[in-house]
Amino acid sequence: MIELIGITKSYAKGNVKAVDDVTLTVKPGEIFGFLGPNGAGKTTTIKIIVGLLQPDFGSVRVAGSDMLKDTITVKRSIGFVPDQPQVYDRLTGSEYLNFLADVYEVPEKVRKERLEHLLQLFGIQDAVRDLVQSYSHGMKQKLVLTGALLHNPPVWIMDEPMVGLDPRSSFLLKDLMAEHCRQGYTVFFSTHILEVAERLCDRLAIINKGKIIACGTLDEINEHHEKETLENIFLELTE
Amino acid sequence: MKPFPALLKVIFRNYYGISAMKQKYLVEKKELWQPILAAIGLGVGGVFVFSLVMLFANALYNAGKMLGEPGIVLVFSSLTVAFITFIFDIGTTISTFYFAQDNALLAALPLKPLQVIAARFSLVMVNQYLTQAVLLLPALIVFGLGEGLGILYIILSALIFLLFPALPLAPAAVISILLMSRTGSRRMKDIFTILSYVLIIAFVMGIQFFMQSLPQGNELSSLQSMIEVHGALLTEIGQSFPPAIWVTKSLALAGSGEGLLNLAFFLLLTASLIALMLYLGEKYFYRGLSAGEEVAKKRRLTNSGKNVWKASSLFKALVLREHRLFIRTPVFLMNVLPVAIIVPIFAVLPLLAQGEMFQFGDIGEYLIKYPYLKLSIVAFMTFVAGTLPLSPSALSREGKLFSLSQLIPVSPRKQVQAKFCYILTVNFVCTLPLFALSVFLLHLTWADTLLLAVLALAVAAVVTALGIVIDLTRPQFDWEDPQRAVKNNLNVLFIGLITLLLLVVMGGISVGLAIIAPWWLGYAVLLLLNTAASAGIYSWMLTLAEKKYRQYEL
Repeated sequence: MIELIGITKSYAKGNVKAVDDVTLTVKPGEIFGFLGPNGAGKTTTIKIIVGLLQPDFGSVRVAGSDMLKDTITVKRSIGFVPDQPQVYDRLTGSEYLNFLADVYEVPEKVRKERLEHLLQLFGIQDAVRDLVQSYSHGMKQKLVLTGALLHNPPVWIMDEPMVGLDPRSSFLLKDLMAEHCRQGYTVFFSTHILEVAERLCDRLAIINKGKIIACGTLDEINEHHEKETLENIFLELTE
Repeated sequence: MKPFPALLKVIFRNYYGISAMKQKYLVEKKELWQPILAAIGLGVGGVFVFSLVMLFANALYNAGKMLGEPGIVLVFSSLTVAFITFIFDIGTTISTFYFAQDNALLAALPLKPLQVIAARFSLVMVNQYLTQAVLLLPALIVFGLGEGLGILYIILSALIFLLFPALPLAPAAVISILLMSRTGSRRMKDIFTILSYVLIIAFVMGIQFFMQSLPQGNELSSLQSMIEVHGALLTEIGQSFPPAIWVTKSLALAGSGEGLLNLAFFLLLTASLIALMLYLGEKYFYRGLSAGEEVAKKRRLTNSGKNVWKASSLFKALVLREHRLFIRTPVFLMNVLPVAIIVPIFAVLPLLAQGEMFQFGDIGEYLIKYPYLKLSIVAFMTFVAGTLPLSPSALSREGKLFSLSQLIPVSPRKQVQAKFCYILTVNFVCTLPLFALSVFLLHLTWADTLLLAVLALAVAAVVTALGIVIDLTRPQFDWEDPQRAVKNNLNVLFIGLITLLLLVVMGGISVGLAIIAPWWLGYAVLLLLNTAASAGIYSWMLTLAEKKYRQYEL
């Protein structure tokens, strides 16, 4: 469902390689964890997948379409949650969500059902008519999550989605992710919480200094490194 | 480095973007023409304005000298600076103190609130020196030269120049701190932004009305005679604001006991006001900051009978987003709407002030005789459209949230089409008061009105598309203060210059056509030319959007 082939992205006139020849495949029905230390290239890779950055080399395919050639189709198939909740402060929550529903062309009846469900789930239904500038960080994060899921995209791409969420919302999100994958869809997310990755992910990859240094199921990675926990493997690989 | 100097350094660096500028212009050596062009523009504009104020100050000084009160120029200048700074900078201090993006960061550091307040106050003070350089410095120079004062005067002038902004700013800051400690919210900032703009408009209009009421060609001598008649009144006003008198006497009587005493009064008052501000800042600053963290009100969806989740077409959704972000951001709104109100007033005010209202009908008849002259109405409308900052900030206004526009599954072409339609509408609507006034005063026929409106729309389309092209080429996404997206954006200057160039070219073509063709043919040619130009630039704009939207890396 997600296919990265030889992705490379450099900054500072090619002197700093943020992502270096990354090749990855995420299959349908998979929750894929993307791990790595700060500055390893996680967010850059994610931004390339969702079309916010263009790779210097390589190609990205999502849900069978090429990001460069068929950008709009790829964007329709993605629900993206960035590492910082980015919402228009001067719109109300409902105006923001309606805007997204309109641009993703979600029919009125469907959006009403879906939004009421998601808003209730995340507990922000009572704040949705207020200006976003009055929301707390966590509420903004929930609004962004609601916006990312409202068009029922087959591919969820999330950059540190649990940051800022209260434990209950975090639990609900993990539940939603698992349910999404049971339906044969895909979740690709980055996290620093190794326990979450260990428990939730079908497969995971560790990126360091722009290169993928491990990829597979937890058992497969364990086999190669003979460590008991993901934390130990992570520490050894990213040393 | 000690905490306070370090704080001061980081606040100045952050505010002026010094590190980013160093990186861009000195390390990467990118777009070096920008600072050069800005320096030339500022230099030329600065010298022009400074010369005008010097002339004005000189007239005031001469008038005062004849009355035996040469210091009146200093009283007047310091009063003006104090008044303008106090009124306009309450909003600025609120904005600088309470809505800086790094407040949350600083609040967590082991710094006293008064240190943060002092650092931010220094920033506002430094910004104020530019206003003072235009309004107070000429008076200091004129007075010093006129009275033949020496080195002591220069030293004291420098001291007063450096400290004077504190006199009106500290009370403005005190009011800000007290207001925000009670009712701190983002809405207060918006209200003060709008209030400041309204005051600026009223002030500018007052000045314009005053200047227009002076006999043309004899403005300076009229001013002198006015001072001669009302000189005592000005001194009285000065006495109602004693610091203006203290400043004047400390400079005029430099070296004498009385001069020293007046300087001591000035220094004591300034120090006391700063101390009061710091005391209140220490006590209430963080209260005001936390009051800004509003909690969402609970308004249940089910209680409103309205359908909140109403679907719109894609185009309508994009236009609505533009519209909501525009009207709900006071800085954006207030940089546009006043132009629509001020320009027609400025156009008519000189004539009203001179009692020439009756001549409008005559001009109307003149226009019937020479129909090409009606094009000046279109030129005026184009000029208004070119001064509006909407099109050259079409993308910049989105700031860092532009990434949302990159994420949504809508082609850049469609997004820019929606921007173009919305901005063209606003630009055209903003020229309508001027147009309506022309139609009314010059008794234009319906046919003329329609013809000129269509032509004006075609030229406005050219200006709008060009503005968006400029912003597509060099958008400014990296801003915290929305002012930087519109007023402090060089793109606005560029579209202004291009509009002037366009007016010169169109004027030349019109003159040429007036010589060789009847008016209806000339109008048709101009309409055709502008329609073709707007279609061409529009198409270029859409192609550029498709290319550029992918390339911006936020």
